[in-house]
Amino acid sequence: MVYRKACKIYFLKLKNSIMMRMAYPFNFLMMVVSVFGQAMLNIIFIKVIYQYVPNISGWNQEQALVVVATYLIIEGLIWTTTAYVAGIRNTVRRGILDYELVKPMDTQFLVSVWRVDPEDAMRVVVASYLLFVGLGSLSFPLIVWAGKILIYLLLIFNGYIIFYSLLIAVNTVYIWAIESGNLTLIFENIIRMAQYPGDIFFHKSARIFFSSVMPIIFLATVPAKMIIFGLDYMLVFYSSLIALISFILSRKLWNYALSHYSSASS
Amino acid sequence: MKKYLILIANAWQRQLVYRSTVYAYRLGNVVEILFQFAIWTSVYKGTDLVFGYNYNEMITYIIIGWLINFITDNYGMADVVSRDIQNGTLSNYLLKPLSYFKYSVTMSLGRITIALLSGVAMQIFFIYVFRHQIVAPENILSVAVIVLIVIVGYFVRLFLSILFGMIAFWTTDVSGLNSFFAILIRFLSGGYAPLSLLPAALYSASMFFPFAYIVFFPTQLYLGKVSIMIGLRGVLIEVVWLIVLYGIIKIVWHRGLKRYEGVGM
Repeated sequence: MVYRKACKIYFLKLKNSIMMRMAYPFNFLMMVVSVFGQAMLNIIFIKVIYQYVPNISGWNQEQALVVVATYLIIEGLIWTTTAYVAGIRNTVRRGILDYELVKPMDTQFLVSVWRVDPEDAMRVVVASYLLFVGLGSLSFPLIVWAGKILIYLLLIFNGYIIFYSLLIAVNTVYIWAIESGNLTLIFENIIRMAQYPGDIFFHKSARIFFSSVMPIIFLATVPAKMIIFGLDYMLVFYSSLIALISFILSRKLWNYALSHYSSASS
Repeated sequence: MKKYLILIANAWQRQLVYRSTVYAYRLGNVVEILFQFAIWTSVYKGTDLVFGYNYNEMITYIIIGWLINFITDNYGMADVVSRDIQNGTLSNYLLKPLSYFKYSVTMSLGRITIALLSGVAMQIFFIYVFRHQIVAPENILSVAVIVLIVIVGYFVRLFLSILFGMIAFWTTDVSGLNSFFAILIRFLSGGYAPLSLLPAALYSASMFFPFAYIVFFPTQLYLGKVSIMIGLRGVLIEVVWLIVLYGIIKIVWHRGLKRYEGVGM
């Protein structure tokens, strides 16, 4: 029952967001072009670099493109489903969060889906083409492909949960510390690193940081590794475990932040 | 003149209030610079030259390029101008005895101060950290030309932002357009990577536009990849573009005002 209600609310918000965007069709078109341009820049960067080197930290061009594609899919899904999380800071500062708190629905869910960015679906479109190109050179029996794709989808789901949990964790800080600076900017710069193979982080401390404290290597590198190099049950287990722990911790952090919410501008 | 000095002081004070956002920007930049360092270090493990740059030159390009980027950045003036038009705030300025264009330019000077100081301080720190990799400038005269080109570059970038912001006269929501232009300018100015990566014809064409002179060209001058004479020619091209952009802004302003409806008042 709750899930049906949640789905209904999400689709209503999606419809609203599309209507808002379509009120200014030229601007929406430019947003799509902008998202497309951003995605293409990453691809061009990879393609140009690989003109000079056959592989970077053990990844060739096609494999690196699969990592980029995987990241684009997860990022595209995040912004087309939960874009509003990144706007919690403004919501809190303007006192709008108060409206969400009094509604008969889970506040975290409402805040997550309040606005979605349909233009970011372009990332998923570009990523699908990239995956087609990147994986085209690999030849496996159909049954192996089916298994790989299932595991890949599971890891994409884990990546999505990790991204979402980190996004929530960073943005909840604004709820109890309104003037805490724009942490989202720092977060976005760190999370963007996930679009390149994690093996480029040659320093041991960086690897430990990006696989535990800020586990961004589980976003794109791990799913790409699975589909390119083959199944590693331990990595699948770690990915699922980290997704679960991230989600539980972010949920606890959210509830803690709400219990310290003092309302602003209202 | 006095009223514009007050505008600078006000914008500066406002930035002091929101300095935590500036510091957050800087921390984000630290992450971005370290990441670029990591990726280029990985690339240079397999090759000695990329786009004609050796490893030390590439690290220098990143550090000096970011420094110039911080100095020439106006931190979203296009958004400020477009918001003034969208919200109808522009009407307040139209009623006052000041030019909106001069207001935007002077306000921007006050607005960037904290960001500029923190950016320069951060890059001095990075220059110290990477002191063994950073290549020294070819000669002191080229540094003088770089200073000149960077100052003109700041105004070129500012004029472009004001111009892009004025598109709001024709379309009410320009957030998508501004974000598209921000990416385009960063790419065409060499903010992501040296423009040498472009095909030869595109590279030559890019030298006729103002963008390349914002980050890429002064960095090339620093690395001694272009001569001081070509550097001075670059300053001249930038000045010509500055005049052209000023003319375009004037035309767009007058035409835009005829369409202005004070939406949002």
